[in-house]
Amino acid sequence: MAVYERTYRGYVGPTTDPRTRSLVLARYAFEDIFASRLFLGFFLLCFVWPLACAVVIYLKYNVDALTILDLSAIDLIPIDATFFRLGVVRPQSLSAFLLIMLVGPALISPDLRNNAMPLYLSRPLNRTDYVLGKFVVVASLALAVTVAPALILFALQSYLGGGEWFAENYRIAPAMVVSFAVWTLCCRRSRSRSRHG
Amino acid sequence: MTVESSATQSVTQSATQPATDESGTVAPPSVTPPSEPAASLPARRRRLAPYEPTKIELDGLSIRFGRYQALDSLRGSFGGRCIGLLGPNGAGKTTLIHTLLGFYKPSAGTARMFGCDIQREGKKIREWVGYMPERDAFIGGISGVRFVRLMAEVSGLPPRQALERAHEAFFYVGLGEARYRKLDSYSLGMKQLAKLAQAIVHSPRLIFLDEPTAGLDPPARVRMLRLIRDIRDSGLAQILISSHLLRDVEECCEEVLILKKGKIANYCNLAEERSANRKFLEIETQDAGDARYDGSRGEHDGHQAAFVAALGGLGCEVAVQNRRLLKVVLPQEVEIRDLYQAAAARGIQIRRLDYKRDSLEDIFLKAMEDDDGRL
Repeated sequence: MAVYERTYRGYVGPTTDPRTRSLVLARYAFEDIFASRLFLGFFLLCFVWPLACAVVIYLKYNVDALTILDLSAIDLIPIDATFFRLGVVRPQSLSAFLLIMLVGPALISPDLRNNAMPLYLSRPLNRTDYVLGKFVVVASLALAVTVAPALILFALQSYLGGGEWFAENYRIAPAMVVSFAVWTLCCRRSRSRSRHG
Repeated sequence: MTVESSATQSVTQSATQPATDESGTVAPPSVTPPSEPAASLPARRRRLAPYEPTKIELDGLSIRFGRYQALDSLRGSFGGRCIGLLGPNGAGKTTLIHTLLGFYKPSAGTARMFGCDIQREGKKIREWVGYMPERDAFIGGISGVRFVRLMAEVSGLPPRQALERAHEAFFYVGLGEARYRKLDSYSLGMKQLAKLAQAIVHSPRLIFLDEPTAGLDPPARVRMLRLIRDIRDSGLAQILISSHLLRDVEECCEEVLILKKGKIANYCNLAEERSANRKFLEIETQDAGDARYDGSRGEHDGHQAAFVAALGGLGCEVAVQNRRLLKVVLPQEVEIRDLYQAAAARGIQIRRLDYKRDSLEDIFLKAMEDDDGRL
């Protein structure tokens, strides 16, 4: 209908799958979050450290680069479980924590401040869907700065280190995923506890 | 009061009665061609037949907050095109709406809408329901059209159709020019209209409007009521309005549900009440002997009692409103001059005489009366 026809009319078009409705909240939240320059800057900053780790792994296996920099492979730290625990998991967990601190309140507080909950809950959504929609945002961002770079670094190291290194250290990957998942859930839980007093 | 029977009667009427315009001619239901479905989207069609009227069935619905009984065993079936929900503060109007929307779990009984139980199939029901809350409710920091689009998408409209409907809804409520402004910058009247836009954007079959005219200036109130009447007359949605303003309800609603202390005090079809209500005469009297009348109360009361008895003798139905005001229903054979003659014969002077009908205010006040007749 053209907008100049200002009469009330019904809608009989297609509708979306009810199971995907909570993702609408997530999509809108992502749009709002990434519209903030502060958040975008911090989000990009979270990838600087993994990038530095990737450079170290690359240098470790690139003799030409080491020669140019006048370094030997022994001078660089060994790439093993300790490297991933102290060099990847801990800093990235801290980044995820700060990211959640930055994003979490902005996801919920505008809805609470402006009394939007009755509007959401009068739609085909329940409280679980609402929480799920918001949690998807937090979890996605946390995974993006933790699991994704960690697994990429692991894959890079496995590729450069060869099958022998992978056979010895394959447990690192699932261990990192589990530790990040536990960390994210703990952060989320502590945020919601602090919000509800 | 037989809520069940009168309600069922009105449901049958509203279900079979197509929309009529002011001249009384039957308007065909406006059929809108379906929007072009997007090929990439899951084309899940709405299962409810379009524009099918529904009933709100209350089956012993009770809500208790601690020791406070907010709703007490509500029973009845309501299905008019526009139902007014009236009652004093704390009567349970908003609680009833919130319970129907699934915000509160009934402590006893249940309710059904669209044939679905509100407790077991709440999500399904809410696909076909629109809600305009009483308090300010919006999402801060976003534009009006984005807010309404979000609400449409959450209700199940695909993004493209949701955007289209959001624009239409804004133009429909008269906020077309302000749709890209941030909601925080809207005036109270504009926020009310934006709330109405989000309530209708997904084309609900039943719209709950909680105090839609609260805080509006007279022109904005007129605009809001015109929109409500337009939606009602479209025949595409039923409306339930909760309001303190009897005039607003009288202007929009066909049926009225009056709540008092969590119970149904009255449920009536306004049109039927209007047609059933006989015209009556409101007569103001004073003693004929003294036009300034400051005589004894007993003397006047005696004259008035005699006048009332005389009117009864003429076959009139008389209700004494107060010492000077009478309501009289005249039989066909009695003329006005008979009243004047009866009054003159008993020392009573008729000072004023008006033809009237029971207004919604009378119906409401009657429902609010205690057993001893006091408000």
